[in-house]
Amino acid sequence: MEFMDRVWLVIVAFAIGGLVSSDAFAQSFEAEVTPLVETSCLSCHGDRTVTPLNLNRLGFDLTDRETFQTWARIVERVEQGEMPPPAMPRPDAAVVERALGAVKSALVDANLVARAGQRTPLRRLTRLEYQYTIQDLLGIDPALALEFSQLLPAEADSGGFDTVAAHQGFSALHVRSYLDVADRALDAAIRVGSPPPVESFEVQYAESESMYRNSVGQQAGAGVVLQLDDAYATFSPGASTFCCILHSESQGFDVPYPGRYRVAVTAYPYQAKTPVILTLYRGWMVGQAASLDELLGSFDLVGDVPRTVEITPFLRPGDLVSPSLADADSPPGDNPGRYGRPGRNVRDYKGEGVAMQALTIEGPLFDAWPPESTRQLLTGVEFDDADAIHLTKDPYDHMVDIVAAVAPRAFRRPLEAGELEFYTSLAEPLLVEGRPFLDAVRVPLRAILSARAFLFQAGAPGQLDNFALASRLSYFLWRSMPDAELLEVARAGQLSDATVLRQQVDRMLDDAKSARFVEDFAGQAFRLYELRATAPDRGLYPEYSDRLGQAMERETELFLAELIAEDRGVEHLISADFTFVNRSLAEHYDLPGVEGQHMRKVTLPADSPRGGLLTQASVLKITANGTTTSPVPRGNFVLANLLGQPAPPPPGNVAGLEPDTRGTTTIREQLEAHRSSPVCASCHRAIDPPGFALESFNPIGGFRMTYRVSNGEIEVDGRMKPAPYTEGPAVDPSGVTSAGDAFAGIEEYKRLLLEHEVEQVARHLTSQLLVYATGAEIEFADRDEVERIVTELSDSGYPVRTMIHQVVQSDLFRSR
Amino acid sequence: MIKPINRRTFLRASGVAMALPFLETMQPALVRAAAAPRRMVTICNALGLYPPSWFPKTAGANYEVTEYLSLLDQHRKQYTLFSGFSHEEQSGRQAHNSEITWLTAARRPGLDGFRNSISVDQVAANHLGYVTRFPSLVLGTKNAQSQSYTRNGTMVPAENSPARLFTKMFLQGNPEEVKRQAQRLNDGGSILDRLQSEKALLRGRVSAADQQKLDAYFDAIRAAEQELMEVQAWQGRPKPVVDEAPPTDISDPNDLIGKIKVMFRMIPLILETDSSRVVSMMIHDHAVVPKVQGVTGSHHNLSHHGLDETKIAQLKKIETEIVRNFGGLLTQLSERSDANGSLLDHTSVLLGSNLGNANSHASKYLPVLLAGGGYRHGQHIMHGPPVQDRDKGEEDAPLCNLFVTLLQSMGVETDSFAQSTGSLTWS
Repeated sequence: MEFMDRVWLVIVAFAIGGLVSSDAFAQSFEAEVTPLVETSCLSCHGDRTVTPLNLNRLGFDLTDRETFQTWARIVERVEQGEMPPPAMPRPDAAVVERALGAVKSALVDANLVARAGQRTPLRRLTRLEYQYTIQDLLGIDPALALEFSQLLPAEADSGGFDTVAAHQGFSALHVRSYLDVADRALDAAIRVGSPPPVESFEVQYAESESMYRNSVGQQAGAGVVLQLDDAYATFSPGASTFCCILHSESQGFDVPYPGRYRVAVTAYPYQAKTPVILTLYRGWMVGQAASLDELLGSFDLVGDVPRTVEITPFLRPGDLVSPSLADADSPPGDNPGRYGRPGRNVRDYKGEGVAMQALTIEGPLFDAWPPESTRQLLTGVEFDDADAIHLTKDPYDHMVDIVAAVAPRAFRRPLEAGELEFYTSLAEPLLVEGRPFLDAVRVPLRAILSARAFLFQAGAPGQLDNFALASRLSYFLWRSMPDAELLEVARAGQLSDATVLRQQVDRMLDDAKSARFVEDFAGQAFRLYELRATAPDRGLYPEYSDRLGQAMERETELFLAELIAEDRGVEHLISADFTFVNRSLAEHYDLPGVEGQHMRKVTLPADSPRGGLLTQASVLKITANGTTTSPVPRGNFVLANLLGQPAPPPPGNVAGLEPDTRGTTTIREQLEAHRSSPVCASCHRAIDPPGFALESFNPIGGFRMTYRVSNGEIEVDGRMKPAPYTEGPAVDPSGVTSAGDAFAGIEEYKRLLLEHEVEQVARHLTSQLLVYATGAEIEFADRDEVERIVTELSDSGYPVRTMIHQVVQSDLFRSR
Repeated sequence: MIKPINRRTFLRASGVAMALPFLETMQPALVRAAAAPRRMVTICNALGLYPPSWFPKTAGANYEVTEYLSLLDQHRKQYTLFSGFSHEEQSGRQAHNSEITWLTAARRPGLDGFRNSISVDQVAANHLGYVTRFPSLVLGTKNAQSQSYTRNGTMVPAENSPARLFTKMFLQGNPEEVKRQAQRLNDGGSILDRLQSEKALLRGRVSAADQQKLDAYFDAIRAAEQELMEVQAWQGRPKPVVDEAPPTDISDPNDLIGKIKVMFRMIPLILETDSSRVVSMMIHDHAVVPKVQGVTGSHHNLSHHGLDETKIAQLKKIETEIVRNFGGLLTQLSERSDANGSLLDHTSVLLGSNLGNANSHASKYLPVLLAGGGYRHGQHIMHGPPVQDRDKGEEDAPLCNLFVTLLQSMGVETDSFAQSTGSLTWS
C-alpha cells in the first residue's frame, strides 16, 4: 500500500470513530509474536526477570507511549541480532520474520493513527527564522534584525533541532516580546524626515597630535610606538587599546548615528620577516582603555608595500573601531612591553610590527533617502521635499494598500476573505482620534508580526498545498520567508510539480541565502554553536586566538557548503583530501604554503591526519573543555552526531572523570579503571574507542603526540603569567571498536568508518535533514521513507546535494 | 468575517477608566503595615564552589569553620548549611546543562526532547502575581541567560544591567516618554485583544492537534494581555522614591566581582521598596579572567583546575570574593529594618550552585546555604557522610524538599515541587 493511501485510510478509520481501538492492534500482532516470545524471550524477560523488561506485563496497547516505545526498541534489538543474545539458541527464521512483520506494521499503524495525518504539529518560527524573516520582509539591516531578535525568548535546549514543533514552547513572554520587537523593527524600517548627515573622517597617524603626544611626550605608554616619517609602527595590541591609542574614539571620531560605515585602514609590515596580521576590531571605552571585543576582519601584511583594507561594519553611537595587529614575532627573550619604561627606547626593539598609516571612516551609508525599506513598506505614500510623508488619498485607504501589500508576504499566502479588514480596522480608532498616520499604520503592522499566520507554519493535514510547500522549502534552505519568485511559482500552482520543485531547490541552494541554512544546520547538527562556549587555557594553549576560532568555524561551514555545491558523497564527512583554511589555520594544521587570512580550499597532503569532519579543529574544540580532552564527549560526538547512534545517557548523576593536568596520570589511565566496572563498560566499549582515536588532537584541535603539562605561574617583568607548558606523558590513540576491530590511531579508525559506516552516516544525515526541514522527529512510520532515500542514493555514493533533493521530493517533506 | 468589537476602544469611548483590578486594595504600604511580606532570593554561582574550601566535615551546631564559611562567620546564626543534597538525573547533553535546571530539577537537561519545567521562583511569582510592580526580578551578571523558567519551559530573560533595573524600578521618565510608552502599551493591548478574537473564528476549522497548539497560543495571548493591563495599572502609579544614586553599569567584562557587587546592592533596594518579592540571580561568565588580584586564568578554565595547585589557588581567590560579597549582601539585608524585624528576617536567601564539583562537572553534593527567612539557623544539616568519605553509589537527599519548604514559607499551598518527597524540616 502506498504511504499516503495508508495515511488516509487510517484517518478515515479514525474519523469514523472507535473502529481502530487498542484492541484492534492487539489482535493484529499478538498472535504473530507470541510464538517467538514464548520460545526465545520469556526465559529471561518473564516474571522473574532481572532486566527492566517483563514481556508478560508489557501488553499490546500501542496507544500507550511507553508500550509503543518498548516494542519499537524490541524490534530494533531483534533486527540488529542483539536479541536473543548470541549465546542463546537461534530462533526459527520464519518465526522471527512473521513476528517482526506483524509488530512493525502494528507500530506503523499506531503511529499514523496517533498523528492523524499531521506528522508536524503547528510549527513556530525559531528565533533565528524570525530574525531573517523581519530582515527580508521589512528590508532592515541584518545587524538590527539580529539585535532585535535577541529580545525574543531563547530557544530551549531540547536535545534536537529547535525547528522541531513538538519541543517548541509558547508563552506570554513570547507574546510580549513579539510586540516589543515588532515595534523596534518598524522603527528601523520606517525612517522619514531629514536624512542623517554623512560624515567623513580621516586621520593620517603620522600627523596625529595624540599619537605624537603619547609616543614622544611623557604620557603613559610613551615609547611603545615608534614614530616614522609616514606612519607609527606598533608592536603589540596595547597600542590599539591603551597606550598610544590608534582607535577612532581617541582620534576624535564619535559615531553620530546607527548605521553602516565604510572603515578603511592603510598599513604596512615593519621589521617583519614573516607575514604579520592587521586586525580590525569594534569595541567601546571601558574606563581609560578601549575594550576591543568584536573582531571585524583580519588581513595578512607581507613585503613592504602599504595595503589598504576596507570593511563596512554596522556601528552604533558609543562604538569605536580600531586597527590592531597579531602574529608579530618578538626576538627570543624580548618583548615590546619592555620599551615603555624610562631610559629605554622602542627604536632599539628589533621585533616585528605593523606601521599604521591612515584610518578613514565614512557614513552612515545609505543608497537613498528615505531608505528603500521605508518606501517599500509605505507603498503609495509620497514624500515631500522635506522627506516628510505626503498622503495622496484618505488615510484609511492608504492603510489598506499598505496592509494588503505586506500581509500576504508576511503570511506567505494570499489573504483570506475578511483578513485584510481584520488588521486594517485596528487602526481606525487611532485615525478617528487624530493620532498621526505613521502611529496608526504601525498598529496593524505590529499585529501582523504577532499574528498566528505569521508566527506559525501550518498547512492542512495531508499533502501540503503550494503555499505551505513554498514556506517549508524556504524556511528549510533560507531560514526565512519565500521570495517573490517562489511565491509566484506557488501562486501559479507549479511548485508541487517535481521538476519545478527541483529547479527551485537548485536556485535556492545557489543563492547566497543558503549560507544561513549551512550555518544553522552545522550549528545544531554538528554543535558548531558551542564553539565559543569555552576559552582555551592561555598557559597550555597560547597559540589559540579569536581569529583562529573564527577560521575553525568557517572551515566546517565552507566544507559542508562544498559538499552541497559540488554534490560530493557523504563519505567525505569521514575522510576527505581537501579542506578550507587560511594561513593561521594552515599553520595550526601544519600545512605549508598558505598565505593570507582569507579562507580557501586546499588539497591535503597524503600524510595529513586532517580531512573529514572529525579532524576539523572546530569539532575537536567543541568536544573538549578548553583545558583537557576526554574520549567520552568525543566518542559521544561520533556516535550521536556522525552516526546517529547515541549511547544512552549515564545513569543518574554520574559525573565525568576528575581531570588531571599535573602529568601524573592520563585520561586514558583514569578511564581504564572506570571501564573495569561491567555496568559502565557496556556503553563505554562503544563510546570510548572513537574518543581514543581522537586523543591525537588537543583541546584546540592541534595534533599531538604527548599531553601538555601545566607548570603554574612565573613572574615576567613584574607580572604573574602562566609558566610555559612542558610535554608530558605520551598519547595512546589506539583502540578496539565495539565490533572488535583494532586500530592504531585516527587514520586507521577513519578507514574502519569508511569500510563499515558510510551507509549509517548517510542514513543519519538524511534523517537529520528531514527532521530539521519538516520540524518533526523521525518516528516509526517514517523509517521506510528514510530507508527508501538511503537505498536510492547508495549507488551514487550518497551525494549530499542529491540527498537534499530527495528529502524535498519525499512524501515526508511534501505532507503535513 | 464579522468585525470584532475592540473592548478597549469601547471602554475609552464610553468614558470608563481602564479597569484597574485590585489597585486600591493592594497598596504595598497597607500590606506592609499589616505584616511584613514574605520574600525569597535565590543566587547561583554556576561554576560551583571548590568543595574542600566550602563543606565542613562535621554536622550540627558545632560544625567547624571552613575557609569560605569563615567569610560568613558574623552571620553564622543567620544561616543553615546543607550538605548531601542535589537533584537526580542532571547529566545532560552538554556538561554545563545542569545550570538550566538548578531551580527546576527537570531531569536529563538537553537530552531527547527535553522540555524544562517551571522554576521554584516562578511558582512563587505566579502565586503572588502583580501584588508588586514586578512579580519577580530575574538578574544575571553576563547576558540574558537565567535559571528562571515559565510553566511551559520558556527561559525568563535575566536583567544584567543594574542601571536599567534601577530605571525600571525608580525613574519616572519624562512626560513625553511616559505618554509614548502608555500609548504603545495601549496599542499593544488592542492588538492582543484583536488577535484573541480570532480564536472563535478558527474553532472547528482546524484539526484537533492544531487546536491544541492554537489553544496554547491564544492562552499566551490572553495571559500577555492581562499582564499588559497589570503593567499599565502599575504605570499609572508613582514609582517609589529611593535615597540612592542610580548605579553605573560596569562595562569591563572582566570585572565579574564588581558586577556582583552592584547587583548585590540592588537586591536590598528591590525588597525594601517592595518592587518585587521574588528575586533570582545567576552569577556566571565562563570566559572572562575575573579582575581579582593574583588571578590570570579564566573562571571556567580555573574551575577545570585539573588538580593543579596554582589553578586551585586562583579559583579560590575568585570564589572567596564571591562568598565575601554574599556576606556583604546578608549584612545589608540584616541592617535594613522591615516591619518588626530586619529585611533578612522576612527574606529566604538561598545561595548555591548547580555543580558540586566543577572540575568533573559533577552535579551531586551541591553547595546549599539558606539564610534569613525566619528559620531556625546556625546548623550544618548533613545528609550521609561528609563529601570526602562518600562512596560512589551514595544517594543524595532531594534538594527539592528544601524548595517545597521555601514555597510554603512564601504562602504557596503545596506539599510538592518537581523531585520532592516532602518538605524539609529541621530543628
